[in-house]
Amino acid sequence: MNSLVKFGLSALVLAAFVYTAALFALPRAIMGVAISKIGQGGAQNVFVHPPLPTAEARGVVRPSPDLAYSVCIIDLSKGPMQITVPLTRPYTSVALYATNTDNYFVRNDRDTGGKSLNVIVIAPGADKPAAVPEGAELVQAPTAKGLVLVRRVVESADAFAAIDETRKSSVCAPL
Amino acid sequence: MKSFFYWSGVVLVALVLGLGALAVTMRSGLGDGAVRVGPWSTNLAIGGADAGAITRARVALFGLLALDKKETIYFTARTDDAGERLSGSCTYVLKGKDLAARWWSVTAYGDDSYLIANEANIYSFSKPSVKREADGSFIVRVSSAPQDGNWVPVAAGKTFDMTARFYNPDAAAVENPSGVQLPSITKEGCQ
Repeated sequence: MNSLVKFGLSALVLAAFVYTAALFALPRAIMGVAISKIGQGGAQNVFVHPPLPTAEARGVVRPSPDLAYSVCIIDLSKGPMQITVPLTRPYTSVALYATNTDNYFVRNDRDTGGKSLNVIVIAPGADKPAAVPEGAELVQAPTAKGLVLVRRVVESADAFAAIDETRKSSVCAPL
Repeated sequence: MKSFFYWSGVVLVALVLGLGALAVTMRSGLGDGAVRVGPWSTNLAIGGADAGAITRARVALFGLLALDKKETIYFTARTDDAGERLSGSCTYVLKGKDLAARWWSVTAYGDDSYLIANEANIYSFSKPSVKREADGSFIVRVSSAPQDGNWVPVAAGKTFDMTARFYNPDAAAVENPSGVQLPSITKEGCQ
């Protein structure tokens, strides 16, 4: 075979591999950076309640300035996690994300009929816990690590204080 | 020794080609599943577990931690209705009606995908906050200079984009997102 053709073919095959590997790695790497930024020195299995996003917010791209976010980095390798989120008007949701960025679960205040949002999250392949608290939804995560993101619509600056007070009673802790 | 240089060359060419192709793919819009309404576009695979590898990577780059389409639809505009790139040196008039959702907002972002610093601390307009005309519609000006009525500040001399969020979109919007109404974006003048 012509040596130039051989060189070109080898490079193309390897380039396809580089492309595929980088495409696979990119979301996971970005999620890893976001988790470490949000985790603020390794806070895991506990809710963090940042202030309303402003131009200074540089943790995650494209934050909504009208949403109060609460974040909990979860690690399910030591057992199930219990997530309990009290509702605030006019909108509250709980979203679970895998380490590849997939949003594998979401519920909002309308889904629960006005009661607080209760979720038990278990690791991939883990058995159902012996007792699931009443009213809680059981969810199997696709990855042992992940992120819980609560969104609350804040209609005005005046409304934030009461919402902030309520969200502090949220629970993200081992079951 | 020859073989070492040979294979180093192969690896180098492969890295340039592979990563170059990835960079081109990431920059070429929203890709498969893109839905356009005037200058606004979305990709309904955003956030969902059915997102392909390319959509997933793009979302990680440009919209990390988005919600899936049943919960929220995100439309983004980078140009005005005439197709010209949104510039903070110009004033734009947005005219529209309530978006088809339980709650909605429209937010301006700088090229770094973060909120644009301004003294008024205004970054968006939303269903509860926007001032309305007698018929319930709204007119919003996006400009680096303060405006009467609804105003969203942006940075002079810099390009920007805007994202419309439909929280709990109406069933019709989920089924047929290309049929939703979004604000028109008209350039009023430039500095």
